Amino acid sequence: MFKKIIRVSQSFITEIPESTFVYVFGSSLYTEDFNDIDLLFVIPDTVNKVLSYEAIRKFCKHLEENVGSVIDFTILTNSEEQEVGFVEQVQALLVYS
Amino acid sequence: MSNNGQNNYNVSYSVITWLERALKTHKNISSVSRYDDIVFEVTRTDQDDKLTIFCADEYVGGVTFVQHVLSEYPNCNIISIGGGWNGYTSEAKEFCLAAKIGLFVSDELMGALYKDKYWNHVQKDHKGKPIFYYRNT
Repeated sequence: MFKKIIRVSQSFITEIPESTFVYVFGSSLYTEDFNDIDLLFVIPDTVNKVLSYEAIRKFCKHLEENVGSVIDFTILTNSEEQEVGFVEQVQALLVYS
Repeated sequence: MSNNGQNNYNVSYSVITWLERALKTHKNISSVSRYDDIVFEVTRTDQDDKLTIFCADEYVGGVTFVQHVLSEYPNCNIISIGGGWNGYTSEAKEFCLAAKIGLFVSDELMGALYKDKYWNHVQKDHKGKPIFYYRNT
C-alpha cells in the first residue's frame, strides 16, 4: 500500500502547494487491515492557508479514488510542525518532498 | 440538512452524535439543531444567545484547518476539535483568540458554554495554572 500511495501521489502532486512535505502515518504503515490512510502535509508558512487546504483536499480526493481507501489528512505549517514535532510523535514516513 | 456522517471533513457519525448528545444534555443549552452534518446551532439559556459550533475530529488542529473552516462558515463561533486525545497548535489557538472564536477539545467546550466570553475560556489545574491542549511532544 505504501508503494501504491507513492506511485499514485506522483500523478497529482502538482495540485498541492510547492515545497510541501507529505508523510504517511498510522495503521496503514503497519497492517493491511486498516480503516483509512493518515497523511500529514507540512506546508510553507507563507502560502495562502485556505487555498492550500482546498488544493490538498482535492489531492486527497484523487488519491482516494485511485487507491481505494479513505484518506484522513492533517495539515501543519512548517513552524507548527517544528513546535508540535508531530512527525516524530507519530513516527510518520516521508513520501514526498 | 443532517447527512449523518457524510461531510467534507471526514468526521464520523459517532463523533457527531457524541457531541450532539453532550450539547443536548448541557445545562446551559436550551435548543440544538444541526446542518451540513457537522454544524450545530445552539441556544444558550443564561446568555439568551445563539452560537454556531463546528464539529471536527482532528489529530491536531492547525491554523490552516481553522482558517478553512472559518472561510466556509464565517458565522462560526466555536470549533470543537474533538476529544481529549485531539489537540491544536498554539498558532491556531492564538489565531482564534484574536478572532474571538472558541477553539476547544470537548472538555473545554463544555465549560466554555457557560461563559459570556466563551472564546476566552481556559481550564485550570489544581494550582490554578492554565491547561491548553497543545499537541506537543
